Amino acid sequence: MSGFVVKKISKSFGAVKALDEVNFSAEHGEIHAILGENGAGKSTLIKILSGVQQADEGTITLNGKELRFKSPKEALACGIGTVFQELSLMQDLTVAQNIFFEHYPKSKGIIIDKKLLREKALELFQKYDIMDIDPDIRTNQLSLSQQQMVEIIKVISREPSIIILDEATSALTQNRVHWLLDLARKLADKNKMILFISHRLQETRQNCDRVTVLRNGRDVGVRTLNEVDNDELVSLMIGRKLSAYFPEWKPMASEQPQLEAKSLTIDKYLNNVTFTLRKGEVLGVGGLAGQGQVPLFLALAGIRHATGEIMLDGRKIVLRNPGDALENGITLIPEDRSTEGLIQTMSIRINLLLPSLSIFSKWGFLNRKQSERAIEEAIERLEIKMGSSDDMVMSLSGGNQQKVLISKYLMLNPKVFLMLDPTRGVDVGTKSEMFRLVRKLAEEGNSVLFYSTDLSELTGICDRVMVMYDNSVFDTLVGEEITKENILKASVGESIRITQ
Amino acid sequence: MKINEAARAGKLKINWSFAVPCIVLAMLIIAMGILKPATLSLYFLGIKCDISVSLVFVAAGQTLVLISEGIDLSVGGVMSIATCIMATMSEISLVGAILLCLVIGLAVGCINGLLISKLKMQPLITTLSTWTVLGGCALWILKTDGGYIPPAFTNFLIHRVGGIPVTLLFIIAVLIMWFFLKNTAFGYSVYAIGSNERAAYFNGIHITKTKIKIFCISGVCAALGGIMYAGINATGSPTVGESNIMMSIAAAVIGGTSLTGGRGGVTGTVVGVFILKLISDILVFAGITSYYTSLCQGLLLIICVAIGSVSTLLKNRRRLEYD
Repeated sequence: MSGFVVKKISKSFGAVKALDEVNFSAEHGEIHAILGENGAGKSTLIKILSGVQQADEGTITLNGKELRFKSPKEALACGIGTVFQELSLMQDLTVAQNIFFEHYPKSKGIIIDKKLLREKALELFQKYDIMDIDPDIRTNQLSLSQQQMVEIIKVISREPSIIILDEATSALTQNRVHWLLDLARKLADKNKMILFISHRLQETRQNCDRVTVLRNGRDVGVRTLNEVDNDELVSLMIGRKLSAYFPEWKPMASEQPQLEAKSLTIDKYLNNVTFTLRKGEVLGVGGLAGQGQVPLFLALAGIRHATGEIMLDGRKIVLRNPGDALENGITLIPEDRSTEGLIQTMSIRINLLLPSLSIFSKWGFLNRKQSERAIEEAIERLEIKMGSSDDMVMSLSGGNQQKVLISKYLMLNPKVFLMLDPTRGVDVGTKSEMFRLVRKLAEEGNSVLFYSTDLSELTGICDRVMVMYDNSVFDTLVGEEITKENILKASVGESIRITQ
Repeated sequence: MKINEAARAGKLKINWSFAVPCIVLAMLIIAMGILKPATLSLYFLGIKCDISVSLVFVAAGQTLVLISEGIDLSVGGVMSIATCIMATMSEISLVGAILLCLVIGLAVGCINGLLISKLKMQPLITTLSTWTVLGGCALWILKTDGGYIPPAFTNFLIHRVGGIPVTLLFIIAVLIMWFFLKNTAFGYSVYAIGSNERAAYFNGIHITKTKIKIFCISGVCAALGGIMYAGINATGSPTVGESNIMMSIAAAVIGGTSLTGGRGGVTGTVVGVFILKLISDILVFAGITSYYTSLCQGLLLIICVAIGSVSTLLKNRRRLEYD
């Protein structure tokens, strides 16, 4: 039997059955997608296929031969190469050293020939169309996106017959996503098998041949992608009909400005950004990744210092640190929930309390009664599912962690929410809930600045969409103008308005 | 919060990194009681408290620094210089000498905090430098062990109030202060910074201010440790602080404080101090030469650190993401 066959793989963690007799198979020359909500068992499956963890039961066969491996290294030797979601590069080594780690090209003696290493790396880069990375540069000097490319090349250079791309596109900028997808297709044409794991439905649809859907640790269906529509895929993933992915909403924004930014500038990162966020408005921020969106959000949250003016309710404010921003009612839902937003090893209770410590304390002492009541309300308001508020945050699922993050700011009764890609890494169900929440916050008179890399989210819930290009605001789309096509056009610096 | 209470009642979580030192201490006390029943007396407790109180102060400050993922080696220097000041100046004015010690502790802490939080210097190297500078100053004030401490001060410290040693009251005071401190906004901030400084900053916690406060407290605690040492031993010593640096860190770690920050507390540290101080006694009572004291202290340290990391390992294995 040819191809890659996974049969009846099971894996338990204590009482939790993460995988329950999962089957799936891929053929040579195919890009095979694996879809599933968070908690469906995708990560566990990938970990088993890549050798990070071992299955309790089940077999993995390649071209009729059963594979056994106990580590990523052995898996690679069996022909399974995995590009991990968390980068596994050694930050202090050079790009070339990373690519050829434990796999150095042959040279005389035991000393590694640096020149040869560089040449070999350049050869690879040429072969796979990478122009902008110097093999001798230290890895920590590369952007996240470039690191991801190096990681991909590193895996491909070992010539595995199966390549697993675990959320490999999430760290890439838009044009590099295309590079990767083209590369995947090229490799598939060379008879390799690609397993493609992504949260992005659209991307998966456009680039994969078949899909296996996982739900609650089981495989619930295999489909050929051009024979199935989105609704069917989503309902396979969540096991029920997703009535409406985006909430219905009416524009409620008043004309009254809430937050005004005037020529905000950070050298090399942000160029003269001026905009107005109105009361009760969801203002989307779009554009290709790395066009100044993140610096803009960080500046508004008091984390990075920008020149220019920030006005809140018509009053000029100075933000020297995040504390100043919080005091003014400006809250940031940061990009990286697990390292910037929440303190994973502290309890849910304390996490909820952290931003409002000063509100609940007098002379430094906490008012227990008051704070406990507020915490209780916060938990109820967003229906956070948890055992006890004394449990660590890391015991919660991604979606619930995101809720804790938002709840703790709700306790401050803020006016402005800065949301930096808040739906990244959360599952479809939670995403939908998040959209409803964003609209509800706006309805209650709050203002939301909403950055997303997913165009459909911008078109789905935003009153206006501000598209950034080259570190400044290129255009602001209103009403009918908000379409994916227009956002995309503006993203690459093309005017959407007819010039006369 | 009904669910919470139910969950709390359902499974009582044992904090092993605190429970283990408590068990060890209990075992030591029992073993001592068997070897020498006289040790189970208020008299012996008094002696132990007198010996331990200075380290309790130093280690309490150290614990706070460790929780914030820092380390304070300058406590040794501060302690030494405090004993020297006490030994040379308390003759003129006891209150003046004590105040001077506290001010020096505060100033050193402030400098450490500023260098570490503003200039982003490594705590280890920063406090190593301040320790060295202070050690030099201490030798300049007092060349060798000695000096004069007013007997009244010594007598006050080793006094027994209705049988209860004053030093024990000091130790209890430290614990009460800690209990309050832990539940203040500042206390929460210290744990938050130690767990994840970036997230703490994003949550509006003022990192610079908090760090300066932490090192100031540590400095003052070290000064208090020095004052106590000089008072109880009726002598000053320009080098006494040095052995107290590692002892203060060891006591904290044995008591369950993590060197990687975010975990631990002064209660455990006090237990740790008593363990360290009792080990030497028990070896003496058991007829083993005192050469083995540091050997045993070292082994115990390894065991306690191992318990900390093994329990983390187990926890991680259990939750190895089900997502």
